[in-house]
Amino acid sequence: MSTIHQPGTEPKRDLVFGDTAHVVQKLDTGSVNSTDGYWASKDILGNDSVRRHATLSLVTVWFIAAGVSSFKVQASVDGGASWVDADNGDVVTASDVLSWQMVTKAFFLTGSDIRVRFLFNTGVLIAIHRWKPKILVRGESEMTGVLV
Amino acid sequence: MGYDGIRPIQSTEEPSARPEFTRVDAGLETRADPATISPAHASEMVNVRFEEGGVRKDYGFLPIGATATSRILAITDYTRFDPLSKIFVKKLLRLFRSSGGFAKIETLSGASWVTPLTSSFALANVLVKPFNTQGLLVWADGDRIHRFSEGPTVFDAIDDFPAFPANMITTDLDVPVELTLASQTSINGRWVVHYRVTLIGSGSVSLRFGYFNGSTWVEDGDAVTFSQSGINNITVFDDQEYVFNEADLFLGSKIRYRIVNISGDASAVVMGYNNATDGDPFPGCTYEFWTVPVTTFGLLSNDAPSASYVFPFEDRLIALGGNDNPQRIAWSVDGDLFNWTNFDGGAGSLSVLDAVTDPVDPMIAGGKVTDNVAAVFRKRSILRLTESGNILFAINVQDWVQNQGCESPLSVTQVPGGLFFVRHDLMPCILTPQGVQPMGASIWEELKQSQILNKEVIVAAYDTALNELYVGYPYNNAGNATTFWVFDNAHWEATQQARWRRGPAQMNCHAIAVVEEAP
Repeated sequence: MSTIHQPGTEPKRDLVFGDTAHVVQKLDTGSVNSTDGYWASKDILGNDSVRRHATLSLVTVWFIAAGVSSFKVQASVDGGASWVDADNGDVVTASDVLSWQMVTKAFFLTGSDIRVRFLFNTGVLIAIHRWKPKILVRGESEMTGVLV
Repeated sequence: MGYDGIRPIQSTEEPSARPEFTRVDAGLETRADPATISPAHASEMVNVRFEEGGVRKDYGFLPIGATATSRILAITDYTRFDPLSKIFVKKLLRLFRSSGGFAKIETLSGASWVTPLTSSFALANVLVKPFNTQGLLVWADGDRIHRFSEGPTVFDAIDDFPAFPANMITTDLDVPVELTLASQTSINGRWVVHYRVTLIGSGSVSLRFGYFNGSTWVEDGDAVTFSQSGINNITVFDDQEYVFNEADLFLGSKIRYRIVNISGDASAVVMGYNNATDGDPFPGCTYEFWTVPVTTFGLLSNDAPSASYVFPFEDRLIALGGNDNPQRIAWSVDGDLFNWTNFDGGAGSLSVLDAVTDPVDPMIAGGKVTDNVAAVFRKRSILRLTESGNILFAINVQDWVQNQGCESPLSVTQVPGGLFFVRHDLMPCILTPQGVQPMGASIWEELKQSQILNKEVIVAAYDTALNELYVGYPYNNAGNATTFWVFDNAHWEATQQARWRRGPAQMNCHAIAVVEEAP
């Protein structure tokens, strides 16, 4: 049997592909299959030629989730080579909250290249809309001046 | 004076409050210097997408039907107009290669792939891209142009009125003469009644024609009147035709005529034709009917040239290359994709021999850039096609872009405003009437370092629902697309900023397409 549409109607379109296991699959906007996925920021210090050390203390995240799940907020001080979980655990999402939620995760990491990563570790759809790190600048103070 | 001039460097901001990111949709930037790029940009992404100013986990995939028996070469939808039901019929097809190298087609029915059709020719190439045009699904495999089509065909049928004298009536009190349709079970076309009227004397005779559709008699239209004025004349109105309006008839339906009025001093003899027994010049009823839809899968035409790639343009089919002449561009007659030899009617071909950058610069792919401009991609140049207006040489071919070409036939994809393609140096580009516009600077360095050697298996598809372009590259010299990059075309249209993200890792694929609503 064929799918039949009346003239003038505009059916929506689907992305399909034939995978290497010879299965036809289509993009399904209502679900996720993979159990991983992440977004990692650039160096949030924006250091240039003069490296300045800083300490990441907090990351505040605004998010919305489609169900009961959790995701990790992680940070790196080595350019993304290794990632450290927040001190106060993963972000746990609820199933019955439809508005944006805010959570603050704590760190105490010092470095000159600080990156933040959101790690989705379940199949539930989660969207992160906004995030804000709190940075404490440490390191040496630089003095300059002229003798007259 | 002392040390009055020594003072600490001025702090211009409260350091702890410095970074604040209200949105995280800046996009993936792999090439830019981390020191200078906006911190909100992403350096890495896997299985996530930008959406409404945020990032979210990427969508998933659903399998459609069972596994094919071998490599899927293409997925496409097929559309045709059905003249019986007056609606468009759409089917989802998958084309794959059997173990013997033949092409197979399966259509989706519910949740199952059914009706495998096998071509009678082995495929010369597995890189095929089908196009749906003029009711046909066409593709080329390097040797031949194949087609798939489905639809009813017109069949001519005849039935006779009863033999003389049962086919004759002379007064309006006579019983109508009837013909029973016995030839076919499905009739929905033009049907014509053939008869003869003999009029004697002055006056007129009026006839009515009708049909019995299985439940009621239907009188079709106005009465047909024949008249003459001479009292002793005898006039024979031979080979008369009555054409019925469109009606649904079927096996067992009846057609009849009757006299509804005779006026003046005339008398009349009306006879429905019976060709078989009475030797009348026509059968009593000739009609056309549409058969049930018939599937056709085979060569487009025995006259069609060898081709490696075909695409529709200006109601024609353009055929590129082919195993006998990789430099040929051929085109069919306007509106007749089966006809490649009527040169006075608009078919034609030429060999492109003057490649500037490479004397053997084979043609790879092509497509429409705008409605009246098409492009042909060669490995290191691009040609422009327009319709000339001169039917004796209907297609103009001009040099367009030199030193840039395409080696990835399955990457050529129509997008809003132009034609997307992956350039020979792996750069994703869009070809517009103004020329080639690279749009993948941020991911190009990584592409060049990823051992992408099998450029011909690069695939692309434009997702019209989400306004995104999926481009699949074979990382690490793979034999199929293993890594997908997704281009946010909505963001591009709004800001002219190229925003890419890494596509889902599960999309290891040979063929990709956007089709109308898969089940």
